[in-house]
Amino acid sequence: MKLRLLRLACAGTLLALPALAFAQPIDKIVEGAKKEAKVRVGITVRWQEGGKPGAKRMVELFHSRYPFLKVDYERVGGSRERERVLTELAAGQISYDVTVLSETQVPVAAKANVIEKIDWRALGVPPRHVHEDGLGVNYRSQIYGIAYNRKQIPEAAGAQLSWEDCAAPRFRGKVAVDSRPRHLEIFWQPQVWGREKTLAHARRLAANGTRFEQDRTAAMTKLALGEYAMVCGAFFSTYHEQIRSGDKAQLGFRVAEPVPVSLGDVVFVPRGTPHPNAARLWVVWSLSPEGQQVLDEVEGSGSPLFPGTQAAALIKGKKLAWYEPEYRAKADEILKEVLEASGLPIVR
Amino acid sequence: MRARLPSSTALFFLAVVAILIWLIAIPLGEMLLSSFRSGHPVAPGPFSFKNYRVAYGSPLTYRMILNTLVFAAGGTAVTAAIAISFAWLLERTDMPLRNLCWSLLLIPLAMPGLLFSMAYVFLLMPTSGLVNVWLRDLFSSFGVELSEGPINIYSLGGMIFLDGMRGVTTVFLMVAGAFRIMDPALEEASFAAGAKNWATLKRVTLPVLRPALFAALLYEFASSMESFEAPLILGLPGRIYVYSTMIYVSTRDAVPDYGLGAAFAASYFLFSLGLVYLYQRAVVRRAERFATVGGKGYRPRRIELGRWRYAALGVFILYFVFAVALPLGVLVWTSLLPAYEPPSRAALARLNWDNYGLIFSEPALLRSAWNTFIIAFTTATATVMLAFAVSWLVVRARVKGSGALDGLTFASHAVPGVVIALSFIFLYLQPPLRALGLYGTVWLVVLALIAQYVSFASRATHAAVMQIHKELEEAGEAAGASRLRVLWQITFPLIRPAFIAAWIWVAAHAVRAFSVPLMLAGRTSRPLAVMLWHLWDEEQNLPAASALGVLLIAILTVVTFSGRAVVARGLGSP
Repeated sequence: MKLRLLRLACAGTLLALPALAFAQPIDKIVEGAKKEAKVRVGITVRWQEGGKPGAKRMVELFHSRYPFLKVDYERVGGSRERERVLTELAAGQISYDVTVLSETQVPVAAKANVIEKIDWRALGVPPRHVHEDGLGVNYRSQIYGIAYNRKQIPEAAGAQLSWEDCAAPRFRGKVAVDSRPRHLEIFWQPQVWGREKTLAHARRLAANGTRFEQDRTAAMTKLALGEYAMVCGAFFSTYHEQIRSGDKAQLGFRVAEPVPVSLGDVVFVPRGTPHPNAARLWVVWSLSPEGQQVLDEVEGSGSPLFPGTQAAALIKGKKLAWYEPEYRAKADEILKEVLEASGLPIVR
Repeated sequence: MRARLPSSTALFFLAVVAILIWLIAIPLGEMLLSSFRSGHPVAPGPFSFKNYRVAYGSPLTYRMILNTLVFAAGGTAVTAAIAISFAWLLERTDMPLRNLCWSLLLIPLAMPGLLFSMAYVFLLMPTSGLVNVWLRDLFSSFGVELSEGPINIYSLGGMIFLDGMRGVTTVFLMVAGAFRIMDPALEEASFAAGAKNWATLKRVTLPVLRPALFAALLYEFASSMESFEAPLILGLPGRIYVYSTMIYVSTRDAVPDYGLGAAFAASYFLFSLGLVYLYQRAVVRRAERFATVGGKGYRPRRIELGRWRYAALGVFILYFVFAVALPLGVLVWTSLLPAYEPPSRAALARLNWDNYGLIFSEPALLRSAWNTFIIAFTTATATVMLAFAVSWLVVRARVKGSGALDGLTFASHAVPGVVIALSFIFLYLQPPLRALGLYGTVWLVVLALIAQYVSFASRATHAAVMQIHKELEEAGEAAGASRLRVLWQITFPLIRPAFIAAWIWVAAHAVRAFSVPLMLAGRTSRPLAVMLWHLWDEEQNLPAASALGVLLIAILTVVTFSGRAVVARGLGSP
């Protein structure tokens, strides 16, 4: 009996240890953040969109949870602004306590020694969201699918579309693909289609007169107008935007298997920031169920790993193709191979 | 023969050189340096020729250069035919409504290039383009059934058309001043000898104005070679690739491949230097031959077109429809909808002002507008003054080293805005320039834009200075006036049309510029163009971007019309 009780006590302690370990660092971080009283956040979420709150909602919610912290928010949008942030950090200017880079910018930032290495897993961030070497976390997700025009592809046929249909002769010249086809980068991975099958598919797309579009929204608009029958590798968020502002009846979205899923944008804490604890608190909160719920609400890009998000509902029961970190790190090289196979003029 | 330099001229020359080194040579040098390194500028790799091997070791590069030469030649030919014709018609003939047409020619400057190209896609895309749908309906009424087209904007012809139309205002502004101040005595002599309008134009007017025309076409050809908007928006879907598309696809990683991009840009740089050398040999060294404004007074004479007056006006109206009315109509239509759709009864019911409401509810709008004004005014004024200084040194003073000065000024065309911005970030965030506190202010944006636009402005002022015979300045100096007084009271009034035309061009481009301000402006110093870029590229909100584009066009139209009124009032109406 005594031995049994002892075993139970040990098991309970062991189970409680992670929670205790997690609670301790967070408690310390909260205490540290109280002294700092401020956090400067520069990430990709829009402050407002069409009058509806975006990052504004995130800031309000965060502030309600940590009222001692004043949040100074600024949007850091596309690649040019991220280049500015990276260059500023390398030159010694720390404009934000929490900011964002693309996956492939991270090695450059690491080489320039501008990222604070943090054990995010110990702070409770889901492991799949943690960038290797503790250099940051992926806080948004994207699901890729096939958007189609319901007048040209009836709903019953649309619900059966496969990735191979993107190169089918019956859709010759009527298919658009993003000029950076991320879904093909994901398929390139050995555990999904593999290199040879993906490049063969890219060559078939080229031979089938597929149109490459640089502007995702313009591609979706042209789809709605009937210029295209399908947009392959469409972002779910772009489709969502289009039907929200346009004619819902025109467009359908097929989540074809394997479903490409990527966790993009690496959020990190710059080395030497004056508010390190506040910065950690923001990041941990944004990767919490509450933070992901509000991100899903304002942007539709909540993680599929958190129940209740739109992404979680979309992929339920489906075979997934995750963009694994080791391949995300060489996304540029993979992309160049794919683009070359697709017939784009690429020098490498 | 080169004269000995008075010390004031030497000092002036050194000051101008110092400014150009600061603004242009440093970013250019950094760009060329990075072409020999891999990796990001903040964490560069070792020196090597790898980027050059990759860039120039591929046969694809040469195929793309050939494609680009065809594209640029076609675009420049279209631009030249239209712009030079209009410059002659508006400045030398009695075509009706000249003043209005002159002002209307400035409106395309106000239209952002991406929006212009996108508008034409909605008009002429093969299946659902508005014009194509209308044409198919028309053909159908004659029993001809087409499944798509008949016009396909995703073609080399479509790209040349768009690029050609976009260049008209620039070339017009560069040459209109020259047509205006040309002494009509030569033409009168031609008419007196019995030559008709067309023969006089071909054998007298155009050859005499060769410096202005050459400078304009040279600039336009170089611009077409690096043109990006039409090749991206039309060429990519149409699978027609040129040099700029290839560079974009090859270097546009999440971490841009600056080294490879710089290796490609090096060929633009050499090409630009080659063009400047040609220009120097063919024109600058023989500047006196092209002087058309001398000491004798003259009254400009208008060539009478007779019954062709209204045909000429008709041609202008046709141009205006294609260059302004159609694309602006698409933008206005799009700006009033939640998402673009073709005109229909259902669409009419959805028209609203929400996108304009979104723009006007932006808290930073007023501040952005003020920043835009500061940037445009200061950039235009400083750029044209610097360009005039360079032109005087190159064309008039002909100091030793002026060829290199001219080359450096023109070669700034070859340095992408993003490279200028990056080098400025480094420069102004590190000692000693960090102490100036310019980083994040509008003033740093102004400096970077001056570096970008001095290339164009210098072509315009070169041509203008070349037209003024030096006897006018010599007469002033002989009468005891200082060099500065001569420049201000004799030279400047004569070149004012070209000066103001260049000012308008630079101001309009500074309003539209987003690449440099996006990277250099701080939170409180962002101009409207950055807002437009956010809407277009990052939020992918085409209707809101169209709304802001329409507002910018309206503002710029007022500005350019006002500038034009100043020119007309100062010199008497044409």
